[in-house]
Amino acid sequence: MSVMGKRVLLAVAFVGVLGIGYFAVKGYPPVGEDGKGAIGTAQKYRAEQIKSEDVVLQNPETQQWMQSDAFHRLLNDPAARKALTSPEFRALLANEELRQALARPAVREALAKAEVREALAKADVREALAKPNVREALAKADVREALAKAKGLDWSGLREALAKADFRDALAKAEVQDAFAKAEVREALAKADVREALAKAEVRDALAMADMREALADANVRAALANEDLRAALGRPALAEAMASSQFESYLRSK
Amino acid sequence: MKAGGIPAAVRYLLASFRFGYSSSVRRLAICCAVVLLVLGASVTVSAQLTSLETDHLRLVYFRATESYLTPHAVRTFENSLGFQRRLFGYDPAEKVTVLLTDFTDAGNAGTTSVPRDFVGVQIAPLSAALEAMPANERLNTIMNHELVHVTALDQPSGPERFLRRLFCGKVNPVADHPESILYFYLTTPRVAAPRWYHEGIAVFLDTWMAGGLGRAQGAYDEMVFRSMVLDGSRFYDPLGLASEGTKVDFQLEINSYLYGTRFMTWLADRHSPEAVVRWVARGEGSKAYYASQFRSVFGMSLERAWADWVAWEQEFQQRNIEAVRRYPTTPYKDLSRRALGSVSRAYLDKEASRIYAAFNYPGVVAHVGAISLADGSVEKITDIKGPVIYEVTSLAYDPASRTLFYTADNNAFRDLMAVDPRTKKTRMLMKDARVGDLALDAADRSLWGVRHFNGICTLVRIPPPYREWNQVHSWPYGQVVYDLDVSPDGRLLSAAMGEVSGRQSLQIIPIASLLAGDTTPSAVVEFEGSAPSNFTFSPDGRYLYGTSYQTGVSNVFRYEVASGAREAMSNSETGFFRPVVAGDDSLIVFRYTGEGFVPARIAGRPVADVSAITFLGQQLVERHPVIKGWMVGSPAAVPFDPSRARTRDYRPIESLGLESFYPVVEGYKDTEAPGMHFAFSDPVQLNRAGLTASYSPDGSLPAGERLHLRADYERREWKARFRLNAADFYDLFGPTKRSRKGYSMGLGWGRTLVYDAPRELDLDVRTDYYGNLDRLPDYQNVAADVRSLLTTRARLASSDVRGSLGKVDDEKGRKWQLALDGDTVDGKEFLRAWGGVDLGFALPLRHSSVWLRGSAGASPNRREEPFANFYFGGFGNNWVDQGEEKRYRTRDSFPGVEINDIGGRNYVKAMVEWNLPPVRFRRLGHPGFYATWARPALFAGSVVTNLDAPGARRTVTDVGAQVDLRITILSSLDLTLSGGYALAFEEGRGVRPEGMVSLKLLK
Repeated sequence: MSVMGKRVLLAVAFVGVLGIGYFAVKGYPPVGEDGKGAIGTAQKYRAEQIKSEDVVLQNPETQQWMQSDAFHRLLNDPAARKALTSPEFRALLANEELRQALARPAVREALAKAEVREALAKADVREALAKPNVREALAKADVREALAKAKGLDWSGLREALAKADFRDALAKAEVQDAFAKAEVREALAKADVREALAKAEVRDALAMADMREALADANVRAALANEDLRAALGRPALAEAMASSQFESYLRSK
Repeated sequence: MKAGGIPAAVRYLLASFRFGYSSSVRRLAICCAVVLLVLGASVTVSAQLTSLETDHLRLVYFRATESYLTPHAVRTFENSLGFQRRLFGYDPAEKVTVLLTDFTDAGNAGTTSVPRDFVGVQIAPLSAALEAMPANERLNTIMNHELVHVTALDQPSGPERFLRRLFCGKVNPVADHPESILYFYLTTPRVAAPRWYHEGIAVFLDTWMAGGLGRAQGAYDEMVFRSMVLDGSRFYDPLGLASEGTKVDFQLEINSYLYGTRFMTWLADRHSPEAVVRWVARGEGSKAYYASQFRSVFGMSLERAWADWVAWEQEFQQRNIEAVRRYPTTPYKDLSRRALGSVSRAYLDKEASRIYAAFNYPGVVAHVGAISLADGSVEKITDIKGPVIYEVTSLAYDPASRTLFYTADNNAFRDLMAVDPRTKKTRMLMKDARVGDLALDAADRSLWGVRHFNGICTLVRIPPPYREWNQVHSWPYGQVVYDLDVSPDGRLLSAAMGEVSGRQSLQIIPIASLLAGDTTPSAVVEFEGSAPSNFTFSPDGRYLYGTSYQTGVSNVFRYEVASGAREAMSNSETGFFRPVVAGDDSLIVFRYTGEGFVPARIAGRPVADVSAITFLGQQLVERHPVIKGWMVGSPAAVPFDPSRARTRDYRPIESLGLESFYPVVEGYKDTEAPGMHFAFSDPVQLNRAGLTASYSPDGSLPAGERLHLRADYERREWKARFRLNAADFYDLFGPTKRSRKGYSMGLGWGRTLVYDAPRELDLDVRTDYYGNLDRLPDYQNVAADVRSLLTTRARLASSDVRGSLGKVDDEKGRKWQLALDGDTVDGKEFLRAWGGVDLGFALPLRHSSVWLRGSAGASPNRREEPFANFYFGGFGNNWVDQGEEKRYRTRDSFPGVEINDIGGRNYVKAMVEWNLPPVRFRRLGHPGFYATWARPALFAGSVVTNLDAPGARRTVTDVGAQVDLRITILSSLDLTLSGGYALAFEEGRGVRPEGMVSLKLLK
């Protein structure tokens, strides 16, 4: 072979080695920057699809509450279910003030007690509680203490009452005197139902709560509590809690 | 009426009831009447069904829960109806009734056009299992699909319009009047087309109505046919598909969808989409019978075209197989000797060297089982009540406590169950929880799941002891979440998410964020328009392994959580599903075959190259772009003002109307009586009424017996009836005669006290008053000259029976019943009490079982009184009949002796029956008339009567056999041809044979 031939051969071999080296590093066929290997994608015609805004619903927010475990517990509670399916009951619950009252845990807790609800079942009690003076009086610990001591007494028998030392002690307190100075308080306490209710510690404890008293200040709340079904339902914490939610309000409005 | 409201007199009566027979029957009758009144009054008469009507639609729904969907339901309905009008020229002559319900945990729908156009919709999310049913928002998909059915079933041509006017409606075929079969075909001939035809056109069109999103462009469908070609499997022809293919295959009726859609798509591709429409449309001049119309449009027989399609499919799929093989395919080693049908998510128990999963394949009741990795054997752990196709159940496994959690009643409201795989002891944790897609959080051993309620998906967390669930997040309607998993450290939740548009993605969400109310995913992974399926975390939490049809074939993919890198792990020829990391650098997958999924092991290494296959649907749209114009627009664009819709309570009784009327012929005491039948119902079929009047012109009959009247009304639990000289079509074909001289009126009430399929407990109470009889109502060969007869029947019956895929009869379980019969005859009272038990045991032979059946009864009355006796005898089947074909199982039958031949005041009866494996026929007949299976049975029994009176006692034994042949006519109506033979043995009498041939018309 001539010298020129050898040079050509060497040049070709050199280029070949370079090429092999290049493709050994880079791979062949050349791999793109996006990945190594090719995972194909099947071709399927697909037109532009409908979107969320193409699905127009009616009051979908009501569904949120119905998906909750609270609602589920209600559904499995026969009494709660009965209450919820009653149009009259739901009309009561549509009351904004009632729901606001029930939004307060203290109120719900108080209403969960059977004695409180029994007391509120009585028209006289509710009427008494309608009076701001009565409620103010009951806010005072001394008054409530006095009432506790007055359990079983007939107020018309004042002399008999005054014969008892603890009653005299209660009356010595300024707050108690202030309370009894009010005609409304005395009128309320003249009613047997009221006294009977206030004789119960649970009732007095409930009324000690500001939230409770504030709730009872509202006429609608008091009127709602006149409903037997509502009072029974309030005995169920799950229902009371559920009724406090805004989603429940949406649910009721949708019906 | 509350219990406290029961009048005092009735309370006294109940308190004073004693079982003294002299007045017992009267008291029984009164008590039954009281029961009827009290229970009937306490039943909720209305379930708050509401009706919303537009010009074309009657939407019926439960106001309290489904109101929110009504505007969208109306719009999607009108949207789809507009398409049917444009494409087929179809305008329904009546309002289409659509009923929305939430009675199942998976979405579904069904349509009929006889006697009226009706669509029933289950609003739960559609199943996304295996991407077998790609779809966009469910009501949009369902309305598109179901209204194609309404069109194909109902669209009339001139002759049908005339006949519908003549019969005043579309005739519903009923067993009481088999002549109705002819009128049914004349008024709705296209109903008599096979299911593959109807499902095929519906799926074909709903895919293109959704712009290509649907099963006609589905990867699952491509896989099915590719696998058939790869395996050299037989393609069913139209007759074989209807006769066998939809009965024995693990996919059952889904084969109708698969074959039908594929054939329609191929026809459209080979000829044109417009030609397919011309075939299905019932325009003027078109042929009534679907196969005749096919020949008219395509110029060849349906069978010839089908064969052409099969030949084409072989070539098409072979090219796809070669495309897959362009790169090395993934080797696999099967772990099981047989295919396992549908398979659930699987879990590896490394210690025990086995895989837990649920299986459902023909011949064996669906169950949770364990596959041995050593030898591939499958051990059953527990049966599954209510399995679902493809997924079987939702399964989770807690290795710490060695507890498998699964769901039962998957086609209804799912129950949460648990089973110990070692002891196989099961327990129910929550009834009707409606939760599926279970995933265990190994960190705190809580279960996560997705609850379906009222069409909404809610992510729930179920802490131990798994007795109640807590809501974590509810997505807006239209967003569907499924396929959950929790990372081993409990920090991350992975889920597949489907949008209204049909877009599917894999999302990873930090659990801490979820519990705080934030569902923002930390990662979203998409697979080029395909859904992510069954992605689960690896044991080290580093990866998520799952499958996707990105290449058109279901292959395994791995996603690295930290880096977001995604890799293909397989190149399968058919499809791999539900991967489980097996350690030692391998994966366990479930490989698709024509008989179901087979567990297999593959290497757990990424693959570099996987080529894509070609979809027939893509080829179709390239060749026939006209179908791009078939997409329906946005339902929001359909004008509808909810405030102006006519909405009111749906009252079934007020909605009762005439369905149709038609001529009939009945038999009465060996005479023929032509007449007319009138059928009434409401659009939702909540109440139905029928009136038949016929007349026997035969002069040999006394004048007072020639007029025959029958009136029936039923509504929910109540049935009322009246008969005057009752006649019966089947009396034309003796020997059993049901026609009776005299009059009767009756009231019945039946309620299902327990419905937990397959477990059921039913109470039926009925009272009838008869007058002027000459035969006992229940025993035709017992004469009785009675002026009046008051009968009361009370029956409590329980049934808990099951069968495997492809069954032709119940295969295991138990039934029992207790009954009390009272008769007051001309002032005298008679009482009979009886009960029965059936126990069934499945045999290792496919679809074969042994049953032990026994009953016993007694009456306190005198033996000489016919009403005090039970009577037995004969097979009881008429030459042409409508009742139970296996009548030898019933109390009063005793093959081998004459009907009512054996009588007794008390009795004991027992039978052992062996149901042999059925014989299936693939091609016996013609598509309009074919046999599907033959079911042989052998039986032997004995009856002893008057056990307390040796002188009157009879002891009779029989042995016999019966074969039932199921025949289908007009694609949708079943007949059963039965033949039986029995020999009866009794001391002092010769061997008595009895042969029986009977054709049962309709079910």
